[in-house]
Formats: sequence, structure tokens, C-alpha cells
Amino acid sequence: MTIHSFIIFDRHCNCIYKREYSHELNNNPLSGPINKNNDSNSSKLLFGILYSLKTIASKLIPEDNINELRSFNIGDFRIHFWESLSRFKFILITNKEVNIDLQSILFQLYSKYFIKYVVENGLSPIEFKYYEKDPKENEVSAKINNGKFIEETDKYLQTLSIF
Amino acid sequence: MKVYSILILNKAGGLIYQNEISSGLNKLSANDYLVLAGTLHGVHAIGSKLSQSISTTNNLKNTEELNSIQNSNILSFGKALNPNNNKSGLQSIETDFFNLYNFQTVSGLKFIIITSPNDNFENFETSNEIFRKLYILYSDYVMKDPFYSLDMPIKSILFDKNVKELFR
Repeated sequence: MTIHSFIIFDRHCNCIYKREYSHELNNNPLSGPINKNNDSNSSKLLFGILYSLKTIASKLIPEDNINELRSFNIGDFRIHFWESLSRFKFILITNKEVNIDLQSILFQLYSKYFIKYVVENGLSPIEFKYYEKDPKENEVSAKINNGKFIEETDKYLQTLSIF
Repeated sequence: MKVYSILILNKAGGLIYQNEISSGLNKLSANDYLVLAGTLHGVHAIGSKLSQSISTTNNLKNTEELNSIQNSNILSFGKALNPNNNKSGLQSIETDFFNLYNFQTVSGLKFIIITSPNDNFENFETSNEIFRKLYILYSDYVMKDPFYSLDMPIKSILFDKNVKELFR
């Protein structure tokens, strides 16, 4: 039972938050990198897979129904997925042994922490888009660097038995 | 666990067999099924890349090593210990309305079943049992058919009949 990482994508397929937990021996799990590999290949591959699987999920069921992707298994990992109406995608990567539905936990992360520390924070941008060409126009970082958010979600995930 | 549909993909990701066992899913056109098969094959390939890049431990073996282990097993014991060769790619998908399970043989053939959703995730055993039976039927009625050419669509009436029998 291990949580490997917690990732948030925004609706423009930017990885706006990526928290990795290192579970190696003699290592504090919280020493894993924060927002270090947001633009790495694995983030892009993950988004590609999510996108394809979401399309499959919505195509295969009778019309007028809404079908949401919940989780999927890749190799030794299980990837849990939940999407808000504003199309922020919340992802938890755990190992295969986590056999329970994490929808409620992902919703907690959104409703309790994301809303409180990111959405209701006046200093945090509404769109996590970064304009590189004209930095004066919109000087926002494309990542969540809010210390309180990081601290509180770390604390919450650590209390879970699957951490 | 109710099985909605079965797909068999050849090693290149082409759809060679498709059978709707029971209704419950949207009726797709033949073309859409081909697209679905191709997408799943692609996601499987991307997934095995991704799972290798997320894993921090180095004990994860790559596909070639796994295949050679499988081959030496077959040579020394006379049979594969576990026919499922799907170790690093996409194995299952859970959604609100259906679950999808993926099984890959050593030769790269993929069996995919789409079933009704179930809350307990421990269903790999049930699905593996279905896959085992399907694989037996495939070996008996498709591989032993002298008129079947490899990687081409399966049109065997006997195979069809026995698959229907299996899910009755």
C-alpha cells in the first residue's frame, strides 16, 4: 500500500501540481520532489492515456448517459482519477495492492484543500496558463506553489492507511 | 460479473474478432470498433513506457527480459507458468458503467473483455478464468483451423459457437 504521487492537471492539459513521495528505505516520504517534473515525458504520457481512456469510457455506453473513468491499472501501478466540473483532473498514483475506490479521497482533496487554498486564494491565478512571450502581460506561474496547500494535502494523505 | 463484449487484437493492434455477448453497451459501427482496438493497443504501449518511467526501483524488467523468462519457462517445464504476459502495460480500466480487462499472450495477441462494473477490485481471478477459457477455445478452434491465416480476422463458425456456449 503506497501512494507514489499526487498530480493535478488543469483544463489546458498543463500539469499544475506534481507531488512525488519517495518510499525508499531510510527515506522520509515527504522528501520527494514537489513540482520538479511537471513537464517531464511521463506527465505528458499520463495525460495522453487519460484522454484516450476518457474518450473510450464515454463512447462505449448508450447515449444520454455520463460515464466517468475511475481508475486503471498499468504495470505495477493503479492510477485513480477524478475530474471536477471545471475540468481540473486529480490523479493519485498508487501501487497495485490498493484495491479500494479512491474517488472520495480525490473529492476530499478537491473540496477541502484545493477549493480552500487555491480557488479561494485571491493571489492564486484563475487560469494556470503561462505566457512566455510577454511576461509583463501575465506573470503567473503555471504551478501551484502554495505552501499551505502542499502542507495540508501532505498531512491529509499521510493520515490515510494506504499511504 | 456480466460480460458485455469480447475483442481479440492481433499483435499489430488490428481487430480480428469481436463479439457482443450481451447488450448494455452502445452499439458501435465496425469502423468504431477498429478505432477502439487501435486506441487500446496504443494506450497499452504508452502505458508500458509510462510504468517504466514512474517506477523508481530498478528491479522492473523490460518486455524482452520478461519474454525470455517466459520462453525459458516453456522450454524447461513444457508449459508457461502464467499465460498472461501483460506485465507492464494496461491491465484494466474501471468506469461507472463498465470494466475492461486486458490479457496478452506471449505472442502479442490481446484478449479484451468488457464487463459490468463491480465494486471489489479483486476480480482479476474471475477475469483470468474467462481469459484462460477463451485462450483454450482460440487454440482449439482458430489455431488448429488449417484454413486460418495468422493475424487475419477470425471467421470460424465453430469458434463463434463455442464462445457463445461459454457465456451462456
